[in-house]
Amino acid sequence: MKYLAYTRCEFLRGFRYRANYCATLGGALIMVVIQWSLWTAVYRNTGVIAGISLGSMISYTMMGRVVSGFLSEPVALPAGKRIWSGEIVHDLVKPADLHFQLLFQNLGNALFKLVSTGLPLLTVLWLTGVLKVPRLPVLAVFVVSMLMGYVTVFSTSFLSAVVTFHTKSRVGIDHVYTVVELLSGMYFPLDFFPGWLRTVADFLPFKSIHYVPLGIWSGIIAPGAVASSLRHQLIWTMLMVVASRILWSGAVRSLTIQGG
Amino acid sequence: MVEKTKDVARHVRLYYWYLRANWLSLMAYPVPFITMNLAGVVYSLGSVATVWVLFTRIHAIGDWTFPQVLLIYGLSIFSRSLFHLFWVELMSVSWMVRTGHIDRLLVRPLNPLYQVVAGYLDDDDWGELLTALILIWTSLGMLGQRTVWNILWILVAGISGSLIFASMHIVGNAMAFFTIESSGFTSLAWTIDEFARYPADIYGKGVRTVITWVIPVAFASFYPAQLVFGNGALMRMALATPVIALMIFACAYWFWTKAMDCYQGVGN
Repeated sequence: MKYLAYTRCEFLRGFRYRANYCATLGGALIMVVIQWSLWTAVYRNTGVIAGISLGSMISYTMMGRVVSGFLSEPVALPAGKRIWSGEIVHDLVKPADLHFQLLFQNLGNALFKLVSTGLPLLTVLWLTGVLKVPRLPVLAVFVVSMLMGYVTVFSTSFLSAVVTFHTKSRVGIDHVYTVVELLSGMYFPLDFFPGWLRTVADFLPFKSIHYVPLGIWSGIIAPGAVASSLRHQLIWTMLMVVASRILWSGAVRSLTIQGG
Repeated sequence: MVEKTKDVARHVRLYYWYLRANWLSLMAYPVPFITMNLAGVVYSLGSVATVWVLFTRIHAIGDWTFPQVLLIYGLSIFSRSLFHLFWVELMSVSWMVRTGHIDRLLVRPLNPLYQVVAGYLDDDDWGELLTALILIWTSLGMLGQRTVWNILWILVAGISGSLIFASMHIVGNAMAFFTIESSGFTSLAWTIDEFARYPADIYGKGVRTVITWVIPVAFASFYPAQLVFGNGALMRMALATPVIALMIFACAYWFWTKAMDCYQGVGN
């Protein structure tokens, strides 16, 4: 498949910046220390909060740090900048679809973050006994769920980029991204939410990004509820991809290049 | 001495003109400025909502109650936004070194660091400042501590905290004089900020010592808040905040001048 070449290329590009890499790893370790200390302090005086024990919580948040690079907001989808500079015509004449091209290119970047930061972090957490790796079937379901999480996080940014392209506004989803992070369960599981917010979050696609994969990993999503969570992910993933394609083809048709 | 005082006075006087010029250039396009910053309010409220939702389930972080955690959190983003608004141009030092733009600042009869930071006022972080003020106001009310003295103290603490953050970033960005590229150090400095968001005593002894005495980010939120809580044991630490801030800033400035001495230019 030709798009995988984009993934490979972007994956290898990551290895060029060594000093940056050390700083990223240092930053990831700092976040692990902060999160671990925070939750340990929160659970100091109680055993169970919202039905979640300290063990499951640590498992959820620590694994959250491991995959945070993989599931992070795609840094400034290049499409926007390339539209303003007019460079986008070069992408459009290529015999490759720009939407898929970006999806797979960004996947390479995400995989680089997973391999370069996530795996070392996982190894450290596993060796120190902070994280336990679940059984193989659970692990397999987790990986599938995480991949759907990736498509969701990419589609969120892509759709926002296409919408801002239509409206020519400067404000996109990245300017209100903390809201997406909260609803995705990045900081803590959705079980902590008050009832009405839980209803909203359960309906929206964002819980697919962190809550479902991490809930499966940590066992916070009960084995009986895994199937319905995966179904929620699958439906939203497909909807978002289809919506991206429709809106994108509309955008290309109305594209005006001013110079470049 | 007289010369020195005159020099400082000139820098202060010029800062007004720098600020004025920067503000006018922000206001050249008022609509994007306002929408960007409204989005900024939503962005910060997103992180506040996170703390709020957390406290619908839990009653304390360690020994700290909700209003206390809120004040510490509010102070940390108050310091951070003051730093962000007035010092953000520090992040361009690496670019200035790489492109040789820094030479232009070195030949002018003004302090180069002053020129870097005075040359730009951030356009998109006013929302964070607003959020910080709302948080501090609310938490002071919940604590029953909304007095003039406390508000003055919060101002002193916020300015001290912004100096502490600035010091970290001065050192991080001064590395560009040695290494040309400094984005790694810069991003690390941004992550260290995160330590200031929560009460410092939730961390282990080693981490707590580092964030108190080595990279004193705990003085940007946790210690100054103790004066408002009237927490006897830590009150003296609270009062040390401005002193620590000035000391760390002096160290950072010393490092900056030493680093600048090593600057050789990158050619054309």
